[in-house]
Amino acid sequence: MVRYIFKRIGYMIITLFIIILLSFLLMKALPGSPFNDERLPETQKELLYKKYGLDKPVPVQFGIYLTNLVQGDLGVSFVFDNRPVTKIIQERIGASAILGFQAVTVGTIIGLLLGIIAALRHNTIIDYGATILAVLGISIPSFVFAGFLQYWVGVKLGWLPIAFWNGFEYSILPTIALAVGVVATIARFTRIEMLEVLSQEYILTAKAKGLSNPFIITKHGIRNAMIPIVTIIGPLTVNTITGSLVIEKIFSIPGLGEQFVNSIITNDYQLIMGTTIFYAVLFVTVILIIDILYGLIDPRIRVTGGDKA
Amino acid sequence: MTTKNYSKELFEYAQQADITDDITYRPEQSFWQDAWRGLRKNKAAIVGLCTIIIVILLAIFGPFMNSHGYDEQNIARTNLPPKIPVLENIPFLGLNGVDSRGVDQYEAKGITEYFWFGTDELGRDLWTRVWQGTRISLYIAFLAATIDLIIGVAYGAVSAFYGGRTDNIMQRIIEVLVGIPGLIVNILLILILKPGIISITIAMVIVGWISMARIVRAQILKLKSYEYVLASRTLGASNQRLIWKHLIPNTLGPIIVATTFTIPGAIFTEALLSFIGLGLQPPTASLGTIVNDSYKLLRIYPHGMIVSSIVISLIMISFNLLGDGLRDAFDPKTRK
Amino acid sequence: MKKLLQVKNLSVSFNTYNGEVQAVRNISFDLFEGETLAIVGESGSGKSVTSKSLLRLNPTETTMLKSGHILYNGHDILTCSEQEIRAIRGAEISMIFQDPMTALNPTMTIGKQIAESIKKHTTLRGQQITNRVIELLQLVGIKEADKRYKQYPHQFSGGMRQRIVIAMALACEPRIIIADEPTTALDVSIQAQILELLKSIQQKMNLSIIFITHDLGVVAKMADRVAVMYAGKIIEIGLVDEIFYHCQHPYTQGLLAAMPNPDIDTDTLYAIPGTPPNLLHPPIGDAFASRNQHALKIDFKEEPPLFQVSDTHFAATWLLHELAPKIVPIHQQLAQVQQEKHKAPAVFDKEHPYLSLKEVKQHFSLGKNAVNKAVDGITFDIYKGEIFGLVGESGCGKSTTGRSIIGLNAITSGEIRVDGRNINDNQTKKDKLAFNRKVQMIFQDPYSSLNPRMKIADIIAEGLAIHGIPKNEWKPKIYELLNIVGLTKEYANRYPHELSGGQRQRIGIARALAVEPELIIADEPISALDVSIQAQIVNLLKKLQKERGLTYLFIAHDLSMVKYISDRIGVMYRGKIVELADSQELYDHPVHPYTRALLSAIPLPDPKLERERNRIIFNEATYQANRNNESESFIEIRPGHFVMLTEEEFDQYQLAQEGGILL
Repeated sequence: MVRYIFKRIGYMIITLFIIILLSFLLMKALPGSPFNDERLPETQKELLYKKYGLDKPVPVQFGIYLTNLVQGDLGVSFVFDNRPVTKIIQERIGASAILGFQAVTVGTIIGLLLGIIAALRHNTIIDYGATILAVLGISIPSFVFAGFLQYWVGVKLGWLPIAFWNGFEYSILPTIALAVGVVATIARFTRIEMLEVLSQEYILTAKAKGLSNPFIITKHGIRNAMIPIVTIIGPLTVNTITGSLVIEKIFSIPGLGEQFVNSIITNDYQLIMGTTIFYAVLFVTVILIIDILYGLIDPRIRVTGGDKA
Repeated sequence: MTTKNYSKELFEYAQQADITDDITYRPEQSFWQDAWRGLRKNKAAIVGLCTIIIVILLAIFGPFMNSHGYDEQNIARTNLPPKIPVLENIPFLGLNGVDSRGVDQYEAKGITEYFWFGTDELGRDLWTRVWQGTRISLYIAFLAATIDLIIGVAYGAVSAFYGGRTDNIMQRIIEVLVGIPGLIVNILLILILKPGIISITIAMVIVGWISMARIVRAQILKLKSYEYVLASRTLGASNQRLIWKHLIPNTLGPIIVATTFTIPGAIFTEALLSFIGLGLQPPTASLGTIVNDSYKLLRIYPHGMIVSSIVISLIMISFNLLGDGLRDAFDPKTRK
Repeated sequence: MKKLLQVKNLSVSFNTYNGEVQAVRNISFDLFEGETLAIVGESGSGKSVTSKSLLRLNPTETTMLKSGHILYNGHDILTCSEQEIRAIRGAEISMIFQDPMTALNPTMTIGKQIAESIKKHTTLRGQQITNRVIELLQLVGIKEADKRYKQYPHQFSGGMRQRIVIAMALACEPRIIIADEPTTALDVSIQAQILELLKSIQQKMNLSIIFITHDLGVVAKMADRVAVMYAGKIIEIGLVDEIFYHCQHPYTQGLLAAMPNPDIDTDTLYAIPGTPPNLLHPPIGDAFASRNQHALKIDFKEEPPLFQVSDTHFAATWLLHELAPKIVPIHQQLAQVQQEKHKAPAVFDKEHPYLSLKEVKQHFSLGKNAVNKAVDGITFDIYKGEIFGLVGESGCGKSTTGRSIIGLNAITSGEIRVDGRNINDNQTKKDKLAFNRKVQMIFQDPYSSLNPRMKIADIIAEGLAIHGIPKNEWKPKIYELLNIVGLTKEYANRYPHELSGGQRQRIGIARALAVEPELIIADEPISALDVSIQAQIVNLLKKLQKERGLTYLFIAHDLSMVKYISDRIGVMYRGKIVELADSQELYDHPVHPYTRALLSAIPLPDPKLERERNRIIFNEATYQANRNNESESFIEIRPGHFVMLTEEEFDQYQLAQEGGILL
């Protein structure tokens, strides 16, 4: 197991290195990027030259960039008066984290319930209903859903605030908008896994022991169905990050996603690069945690150890 | 013993033809017929398939169904709500040219023409634009899906078929690539390539083929140990024969299903890129750019957003329904 | 004797994709206290559905209960409340399933899984439960139970898991145990252990057992009474001796005749023709009529009632009606024929073996430092025109040997010669193709051995295409091959999934024959088939061998079938051949302890014999521990009879021989 984890961490570092190298080269190549923007004030250019040794060969520059990066220095934003990118990310991450956390928690709970109920009531109206809901949730683009939520609930009915971030009630609509995809993904996956588990022979064995249905479903069914569900945390993270880009923009939430979209519009390359690397680190870490978690909760891997590798 | 009386001749030996062993267990049908039969039983999938066909037809012929060009601007007729002959007489549908404040814009602006989906803020006909946009979106999606398919199948098949070291190296590469968040790569690439049909497609393909490669590899690895493949090898079949006669035909099911799910994914990604400002540049329009443009006017003129979102959602739903149906139809486990 | 359970007029159907399948059609039987009732039948006969109905365990969504009652202790199991049935399940009647690999929850410790039903049905709590669990594990023969109860299922072998499943079934001291093919997934020696365990527990606890199986040997060993099912009906029921020695129904007679009897030498096995009816549309009259060579007119018109043969013996066949003609039962007919014939042993050219293996090793790397020695130095010859049987339990390397010979794996070391030519010399494409024509293979699984996307004609023609036979010659050749394997030419246009298992296996044979091979490697060709179909395929293989002078390597785990078909037999154990002899010689005078244990573990379809037999136990650990593997060699102890013995073992053997002790 330990060997396996080290191997995974190795891959993680290679992946990150590739992403960083890629973004660095892109920044070097782009016209109008911080490294070769003609409009750049001389003072700032000097600063940059000093910092990254832009007169030195490219590999050396990359080395310096990496060293800075490891120390948590992602450069400065030119649009925001030379404020350090790390600082901006720190300020912005709070709202995104709260929003993401709320959406994932609410979405997972509802999704699990929906998926389990659908599987238990297989081929009934409830199952079809849940399936249709899940297909709608996966299919309807998040910005469409968010747009109409804002329009009908916020503007037409006036029940809830439609923009900004001044307390819990401000987070309700964006959370719903972001959670829909989570609910749909989890419900769909849970339903399939649950059906698979319920058709296993050990469920029949449990029934033959005289155990009650609710007991069998919780003790044998859900527990086994939950193990593979861990694997969709990865895609879920991506969805949530992606969703936060548009939903924060739509609801004008001062989060990282909104910042990222703005930096794209304003060509704030240093910030784009910094955020990209931040997202990549986040994603790769989540994947690593999933891999380890999977090994921990499945006794078939945990007890024999390292078989999966 | 028995109370009933039977006539004696009933107990003579029956005239019996040679006992032949030709009872077949299922009606004669090929794999495709069988899959089609499975799909047809799934109503949702059939609805999805029909919707897709209709949308494709509209995307091809829709823009020619009236006389307006997709970039034909006219300040005199901006932001007109939809108005459709016949349906205009049913008030609750809101297709009578009356806007959200209850003013008949057609009367107010003195326009006698019908704009089925209304017009946008530059007075362009939305019907034409929406189907034109659908055409572009579908084009990008199909193109991306096709390239994904070609690269993914080739990569997955080679990796699984040759196995050993080749497979090992190819899998290590995939393991590294999987860690890269797709959208981030899309954004970075489009930043350098500048938004355009080809650049958006390339950006999507860069990471898109990986899932196809994994599906194909898993399937071929499984098939490789099947006894009919071994039988073919013992008969002396060449690699080419094994791949084309046995492996690829039996991988088609999962490939088709995966492609069906790739298409809505690509449409969504394109729309999302438009929404964060990396979409196609005007005057070219895709569904994503239309949704984005009309979103800005949602509070005053909701019709544009409503129409374009319905079309994009419909496409996404249809492909997802069809994909679900195909998966069930190709998977013998779901049929007993 | 007291009636514990009564099944009356039970009919169960299933809703399927293709329509309503009438799986069980109006069956009735009783179960008495302390007895073992075996329900025998082939796949699709409705035996499993019946067993699951006894605890109402059939899937609720698709099952339609058409009629009937199952009475237990004043309850009707089919109609009582959910609560009542739950109080019966596990506590009064419990169940053992076929596959111990899937019957246990992989993510729960075995101790907890056993404890569940104790907690549910008894007043024991806490430490008392743990003690009971350990006690149960000891009862079913699991060592170090006090430590192992905390382990997960994947840490146990298949046989051990089945013991755990049995412990689970016994947890609340039930009165009835329903065992649904409990040993089908296990090797013969493990099967023998499990069967003995069940018997000893039955005596200790005065249990009644309903034993579902397709294996008549197991029935002979286990049952007091037997019910034979065919096409959803019980066609004959009686005491075990009545069924085995005085059966009345032509199906039961046919089944018994289709089992090879190791004590009688026959040329062909009796085979019931045809395939069982499709229960989507059950035939009118006697369902067996279309396969019955002595069918009467009334068989096609009216269903036969159960005729009483004795107080305990009933059979549903019109042949028992007073007006019916009297027929000599099939097995008696056969016995007479066999008396007359006596087979002369075949003579082979032993100077020029067709296939010759010398010290062949096939090792697979399992990652760093771990090697699976699947085949570990085996040497044997197969003569031209001979059938050579290779037997052993799962994982002994018998299939790997077959695959190595045909070149599906490249061997690690050693030499394989086919027709005098080293197969590694075949370097050019042409040589390889020529080799492929000479040696062909028939596979085990009739469901995965045919490509589902190809028509039967294309499957058979594949070899013709590969070996460049002109296309216009294909069609007559395909029809000829279909005819040879006993199918009509209409099959050419069909797809594999339209055929039954036996029909598919025939196609597999036709495919191999298409390139006119000389040596056929048959890798467990019948183990996935039903008994009545097995005999058909074995007869076909034998007939082809005779007509075409083929040489076979017949790989199987079923020693009685191998004994029947082979001229010589090699017994494999852990990658080595431990004993090799003429089949009769091996059967009469086995020397190696493994062979002797294996032979004694096969259940024979003869209840009287089974009652007297003693099983020889092969203890792997002590065998390995007291042995100097370095000095072992393949010693010819009698002409043509080789055994893998160490010097010490050989000395012991000679001493025993001199002392007149027959081994």
